[in-house]
Amino acid sequence: MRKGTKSFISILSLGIVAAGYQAGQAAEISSVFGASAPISGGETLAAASPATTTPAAPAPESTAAASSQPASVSTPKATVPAPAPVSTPKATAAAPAPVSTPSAPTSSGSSSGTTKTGTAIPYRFGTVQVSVTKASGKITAVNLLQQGATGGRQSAFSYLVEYSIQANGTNFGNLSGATYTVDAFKQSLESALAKF
Amino acid sequence: MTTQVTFVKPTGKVRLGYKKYLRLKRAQDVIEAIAWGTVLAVTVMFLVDGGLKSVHDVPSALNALSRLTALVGTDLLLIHMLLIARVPWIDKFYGHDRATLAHKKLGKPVLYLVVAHFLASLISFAITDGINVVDEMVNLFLNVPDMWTATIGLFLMIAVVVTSLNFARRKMSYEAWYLVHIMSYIAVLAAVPHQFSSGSDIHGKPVQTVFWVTLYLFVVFNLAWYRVLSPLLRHFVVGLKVDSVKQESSDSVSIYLTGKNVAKLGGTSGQFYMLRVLTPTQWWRPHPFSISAAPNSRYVRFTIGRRGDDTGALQHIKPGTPVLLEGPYGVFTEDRRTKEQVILVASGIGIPPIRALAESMAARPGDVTVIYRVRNAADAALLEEIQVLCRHRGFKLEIMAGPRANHSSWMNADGTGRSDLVRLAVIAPRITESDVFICGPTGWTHNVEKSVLKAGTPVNQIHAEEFAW
Repeated sequence: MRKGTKSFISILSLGIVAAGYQAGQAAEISSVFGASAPISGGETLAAASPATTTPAAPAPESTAAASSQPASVSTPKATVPAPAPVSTPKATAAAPAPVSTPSAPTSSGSSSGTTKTGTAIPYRFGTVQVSVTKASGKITAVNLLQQGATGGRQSAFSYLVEYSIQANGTNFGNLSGATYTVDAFKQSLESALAKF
Repeated sequence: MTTQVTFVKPTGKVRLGYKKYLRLKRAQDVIEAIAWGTVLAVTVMFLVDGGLKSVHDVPSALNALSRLTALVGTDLLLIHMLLIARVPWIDKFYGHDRATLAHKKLGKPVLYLVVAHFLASLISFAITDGINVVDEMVNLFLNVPDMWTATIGLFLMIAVVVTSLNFARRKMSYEAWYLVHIMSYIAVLAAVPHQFSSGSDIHGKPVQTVFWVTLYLFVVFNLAWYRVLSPLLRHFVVGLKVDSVKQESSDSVSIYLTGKNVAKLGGTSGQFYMLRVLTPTQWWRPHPFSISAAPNSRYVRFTIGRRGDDTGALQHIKPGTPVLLEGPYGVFTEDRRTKEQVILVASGIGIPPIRALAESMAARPGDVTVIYRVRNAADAALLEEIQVLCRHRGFKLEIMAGPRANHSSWMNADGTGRSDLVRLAVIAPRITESDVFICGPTGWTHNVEKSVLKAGTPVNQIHAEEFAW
């Protein structure tokens, strides 16, 4: 490459990389190493999980994912921050009265929608079992009946719940660092969806 | 055989001038910018995806490193493969030797990136799982989808690069090296699936998926079409067979190939083909040879020295043997000429492209000077033809026979003790305003280049083709 072209392209590249980095600061995360729970996912989880088996989350009303992580990630797909993060930013294990989602009540006993329970999938790092609530063909809630995971993998669940609601099924991407967990989650979810 | 050589009509007109060189440079800039653009694109997609945002401790930093090295490494690997695909649109602007050189240079960085990706992800997962790296490796190998193929791919890649290092190349025959190199395609194929099934940068992301699938398809198409399908199809159209073999000197022969539609082969003087002799034992090993007569409608001719097992076997090739040609390749052609004056310099079996160029170059009497360096004038390939050609077209011919003047000289000993530079000035007084085409063994070619540069010829007027690589 000639010198002039080279310097021009170098400077241009620097600018593009900087812009990319900026954009990345407001992005959805595709690795469990990101390790912060999305707010909306946390809500769904917190509102609905009846019992958990993960050692990290003894409190029945809030799951591991929502419990100890600072809630600071904006919702995926939305570029603006999550609507009204009413729950305390540093939701503790005892976060009282999780804010209900605006769209639909998410608890399994709710009047709208039917709930089916998926197979419990044992995998390398624990067992995953979900139940799915559907209303008018749409997944409105995914509850984790069992969410066994070790290492940093617990943080995957909040994303998985959120992604599966958004994708209305299992057609969403992998989370690097939690490939097995994602697979187990998807298997259980699929088995639940198959019952509708 | 007494195939009487008749010369083709030389090119009537040729575009010359510095602008021609600038146009070439501009095209090269565009190609390089596009290549760089793909590296930039994968990096930016990684950044926009929040690749660096997730970094907050050691395993997450390693994970980000693993993703980035994988993305850039894979992108460079695809470029690396494209560089050796002998695609005409790269060959036209860079020539086969420069593309091959870039391919060689890129080999090690690609491997480093892939190994970095492997180590970073391994350590990152091992820390997260709280187990040692050996257990983690066993675990990844057995449990993560497509990871065992990827691991095999990695070790194949290491094998390919190690066998391509200079010290290993010297110890291996070309044939053995070639066989190992074929495995690199298997290595890449083995590594592709885990990128799509376990990676977090492609699956479920439409932009990235489209980008990577396009990139892969583009490279696969180019490889499949230009390296396999196109030569095969042309073989059915042209159907070349050995017509006759003529002894040129004690260690070289000319092979004349004829076929149904020789004129359709195309190509220009100074170019070369990869030649596959279609016999059960030789078909899989192509060898590069320059055409030693300007393209014509009657035959294709290669003049081949005896320098290895296969070229030795070619000396005794039977008439009627089918031959498949891939090419033509190379930019050692009049396409690169920018001046009216031309100096053609050849040594030994570097003569074929020089001989073809001398036949077809557009020139008036006196425009071209041919320098032919041989060990022994009584036993030099194509010497008589060159003499006839030069007399016929009014070119100056300088034959340098005998041992060299001193160890760094590219000329013969003439007994006067004058330096190469002085002698060159006598032979070619207008060398600074000439295009110089050089073809010979690597070391000799470099010596000539040095001399010509010293004489004051701008570097863009020097064109070299090394026949040993």
